[in-house]
Amino acid sequence: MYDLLGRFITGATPAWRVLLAAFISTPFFLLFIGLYGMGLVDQEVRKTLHADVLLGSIAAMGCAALLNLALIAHLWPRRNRLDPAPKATLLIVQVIGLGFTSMAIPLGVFTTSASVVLMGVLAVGVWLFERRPMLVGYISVNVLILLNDVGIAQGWWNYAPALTPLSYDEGPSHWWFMLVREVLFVGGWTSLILLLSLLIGSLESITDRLARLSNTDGLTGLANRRAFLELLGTEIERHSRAGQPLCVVLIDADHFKRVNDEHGHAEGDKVLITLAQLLSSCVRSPTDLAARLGGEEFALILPDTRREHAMGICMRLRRMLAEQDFGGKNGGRFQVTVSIGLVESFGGQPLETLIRQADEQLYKAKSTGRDRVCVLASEGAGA
Amino acid sequence: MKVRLAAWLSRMERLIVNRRDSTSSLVLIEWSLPFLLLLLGMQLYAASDAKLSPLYQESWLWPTLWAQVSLIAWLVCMGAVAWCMRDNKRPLSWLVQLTVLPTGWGMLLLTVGHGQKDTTMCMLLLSEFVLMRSLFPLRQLKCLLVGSLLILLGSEWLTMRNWMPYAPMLAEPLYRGYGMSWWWSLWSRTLYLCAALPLSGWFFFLASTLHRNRLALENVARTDLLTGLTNRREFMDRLERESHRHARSLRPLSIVMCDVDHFKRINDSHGHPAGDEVLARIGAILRTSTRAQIDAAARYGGEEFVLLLPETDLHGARMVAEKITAALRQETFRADGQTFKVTLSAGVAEVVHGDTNWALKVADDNLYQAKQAGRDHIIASVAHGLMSEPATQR
Repeated sequence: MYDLLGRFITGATPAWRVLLAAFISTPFFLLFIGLYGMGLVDQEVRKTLHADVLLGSIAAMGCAALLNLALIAHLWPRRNRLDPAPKATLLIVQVIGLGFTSMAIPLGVFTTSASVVLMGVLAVGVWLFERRPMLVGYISVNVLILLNDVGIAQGWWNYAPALTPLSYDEGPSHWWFMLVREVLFVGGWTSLILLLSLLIGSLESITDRLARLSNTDGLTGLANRRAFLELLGTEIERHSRAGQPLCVVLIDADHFKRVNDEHGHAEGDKVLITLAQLLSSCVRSPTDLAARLGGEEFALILPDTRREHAMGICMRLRRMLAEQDFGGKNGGRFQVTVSIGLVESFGGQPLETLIRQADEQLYKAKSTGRDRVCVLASEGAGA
Repeated sequence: MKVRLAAWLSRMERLIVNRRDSTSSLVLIEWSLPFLLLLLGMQLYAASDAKLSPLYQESWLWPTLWAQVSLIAWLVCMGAVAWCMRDNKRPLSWLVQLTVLPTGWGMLLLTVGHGQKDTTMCMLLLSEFVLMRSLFPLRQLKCLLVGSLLILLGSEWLTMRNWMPYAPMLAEPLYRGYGMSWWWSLWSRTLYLCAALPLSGWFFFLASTLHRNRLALENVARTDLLTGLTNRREFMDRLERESHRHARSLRPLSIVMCDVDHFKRINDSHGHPAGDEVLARIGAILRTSTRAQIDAAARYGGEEFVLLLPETDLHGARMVAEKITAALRQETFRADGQTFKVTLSAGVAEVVHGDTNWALKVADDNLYQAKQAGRDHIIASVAHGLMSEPATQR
């Protein structure tokens, strides 16, 4: 779900973002206008309230909703345009921020959950829009709240100016304030929690995909060179500490250039993908790693594996590859073989040396006729 | 100042991204302790003041103070444990739960005690939950969230049955419609500021991290990691777009295909790292030789590169190719104490009638001919329908 939303947001044009903000906020404005309206319509309740303040708040929210609708009407035909909409963005951020603040102030910012609702508005805002317009909106909302507090401190108006002590009394008009309070509390918290899981969830899924993408090879889905080197580094460290065996295998497809030239790049890609599949089916244990180092070169890291066992794995790979036929259709069928260099770490070899030794074995396999495995027999001596 | 802030923010981002249990717990404790101390301090001050202490429910005043003191002591202990284990990368579920549950539930109980619907304690609780959700994966917070929901529902139920007053820690709720006492005014505003400002800062921070990672993700998906050039998939998309534009506007458009000469030999005689170095250097040359926003330079596969040059005719494209081969000739590579030179062969084609696929084919043919002609050559031709005549040769 986060993926879907994330992709939607990534792909959304600036105009779409503004539209989305308008679509989300307008129903809430209408909800609060309705709630406040209920208090004004019921004569019993109206007597316990400062109706003029509440009317002012309704008017402010009404303006906000109308401006939202005007923006929707203005932007809907332009919704797929890619050009930025800085003015519309700034306008909607201000409208929504100040609209909800004018909902919160009459009931008291600190003693109702209105402030939680304001936080929810902020969470949607930062998710949808760039930082600059959001900062402008954030500052103007806080200035409004601050001005309200200055007014209270100066005695120009009361804290929670719409309410009177009667709103809190358990009298016949009590239900209205209780209803508003519950709506703010339950609605504010549930929507905020949803929004936060959205914000943090999409962050999680994106960091996940980022890590996956930068560690895997796009064509074959195997680990890439970077991931290979990283894991090999930690495995060598563990190997030199714990003394468990460790094997490194370099695998190179023979005459791959020829495959590409004779059968085309698409067929070459198919060979690489098949090879990658065979490799990952050869390594079973989750600690093993199959990687594509680039071009037609692949590698295996086999921790806790002796040379003989690693040799077995290489043989199995060659056998499985020998059963594979490539090509067909218009070109002729062909087979692919691999040359393999295998080296077991004896401790003490740094990463570069280990790779160089494996590379030397691979080179030897290539120069002695390809389609074979060459192993570094024991310390220093080649075989 | 700005640099230090940036460093601090990137440290926070690593904390969220890496999510090591020990450091996450430590950050949570570091964040929570000041708030708990602030709450405790304010309540202690009120308790010691004869005029203020009646604001609190007398029978609850000292028990809640002691409870807060023990919560703080517990978190300090856990903080010490987490500090000692801060280098530990393994999952430490017990540490997380022992930190998260007391903090979360303790804050929630304090919130309910002060009245969950009309205090700024909500804001405090909220900032706590947001921080936890950013530091820990959801599955580690399940217990906390379910327990919190039960506590909230339980308190609602107790209040409804009149078994527990609303805001049981206080003599009466903060605000009953007739003015707020100076103490509660101060208390509310202090807590509100202390909680809401960092919380909104955190929102901005999360969103900008999200935004940046989104861009990075797009970039990674589009670039070749070794050379930093565009990858093949993105290049094909770009080619498609440019081909449409070319067919409409009939502005010139050219394609250059180049291939490193004897790359296999470089790999075999100097090793793969040297080969990679060659590719990376060529990537850098291609990037500097083309116009950043207009041209597309891509790694087409192995040691093959391709350039897409809008607004450039055959002659211009040839010049670009020559600039690149000349720049490469200046480069000297080193591996294992040996130095070696690398050359490029290039095939150039100018697109005609928006048929970029045909032009790509012609450029590839020209590249092949350049290779045949002894390498380190450039061969250019206009991709006319079927009669592609090699125009110039070097």
